[in-house]
Amino acid sequence: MSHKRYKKNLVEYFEGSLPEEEMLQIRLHLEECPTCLRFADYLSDSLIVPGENRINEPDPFFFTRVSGRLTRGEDMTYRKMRIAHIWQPALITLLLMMAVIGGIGIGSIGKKNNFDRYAMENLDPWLNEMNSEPIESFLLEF
Amino acid sequence: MEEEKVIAALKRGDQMAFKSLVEQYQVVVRNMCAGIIKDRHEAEDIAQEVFVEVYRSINNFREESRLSTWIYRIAVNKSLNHNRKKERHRWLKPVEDFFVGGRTAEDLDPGSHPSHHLENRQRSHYLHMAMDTLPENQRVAFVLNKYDDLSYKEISEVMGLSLSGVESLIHRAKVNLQKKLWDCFKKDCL
Repeated sequence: MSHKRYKKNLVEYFEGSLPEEEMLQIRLHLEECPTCLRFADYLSDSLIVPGENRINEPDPFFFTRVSGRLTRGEDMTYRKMRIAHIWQPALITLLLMMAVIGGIGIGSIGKKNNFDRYAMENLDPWLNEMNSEPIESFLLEF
Repeated sequence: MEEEKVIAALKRGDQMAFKSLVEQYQVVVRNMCAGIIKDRHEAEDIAQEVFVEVYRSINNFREESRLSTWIYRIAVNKSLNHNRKKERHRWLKPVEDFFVGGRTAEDLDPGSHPSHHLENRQRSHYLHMAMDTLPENQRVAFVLNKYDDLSYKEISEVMGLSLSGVESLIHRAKVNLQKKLWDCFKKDCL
C-alpha cells in the first residue's frame, strides 16, 4: 500500500472498521513511517479535541441570564405587540384617508379651472414654438 | 420527576420546573451551540435564546418526541439560523468591526482557555477551520456526536434522518476532516 492509501484509511483504522489484514498492514506501516505516524497521532488527537474542549460544568449564572432575557424579551414583545396592534392599523388608516382626500383634491383641480376648455384653447407658452420663432422668420431663412 | 410531569409543570408556567430543566440541559445545549457557532460569546447568547424559546413554545410541544430531542432540535435550528444570518450579513462585518471592535482570536477559538497548551489551541483552531468547510449536515452530525456524546439514534431523531444516514454523515465528516487536516499537515502549519 502507498502512503496515500494508508492515509486514506486512517479514519477507518481508528474506528476499527477495516478488515484485520488491513488493520495489521496499517499498524506495521505506522511503525516504520515517521511521517504517517505523526499524521496519525495528529489526526487521532484532533478527532478527540472537541471532547477535550467541551463544557463540562454547568454555569451557575446561566439560569439568571435566561430569566433576565425572558423578562426583557417579554417587555419587548409587549411593546412590539402594542406597536403592531395599535399604531400600525392607525397609520394605515391615516395613509388611506390621506390618499382618498388627495385623490379627490387632484380630481377636482380640472373641474375648478374648466380644464377641458383651457386645454383646447390655450397652449402653454413653453410648448408654443410659434412664440419663440414665428413662421415668417423661419421661412425667411430659406 | 417524570417527563410528562415536567412538561405539564412547564406548560403551567412553573418557574422551578423551568429552572431544573435549564440546569439539566444547559451543558448539552451550550456545547451544541459552541460546536456549530464559531464565536463562543455568540454561542452562549444562542444557548440562552434556546431556553427562552423552550419556555415560550412549550405549549406548542406536541409530545411526539422526547423533550430532550425537541430541545436539541431547537438548539440546532437556532445555531444554524444564526450562522446563515451571519453569512448573509458578512458584508457588514468590516463596518461593525470598525465601530464595535473585532473579536480576538481567543473569542473565536473555543479551545482557547488559558489552561490549554498552545499545541492544543492550535490543533483545536485548525480543526475548527476544517469543520467550517464541512457541509452543514455533516458538521451538525459530527458536533452532536463529538461535542455532545449523543448516540447515533438520538442524532437521527434530532436531525430527522435514518440511523444509516447519520452513520454515513459522521463517517463522511471524518473523512473530509482528515483530507483538510492532511492539507494543513502537508503545508507544515502544525
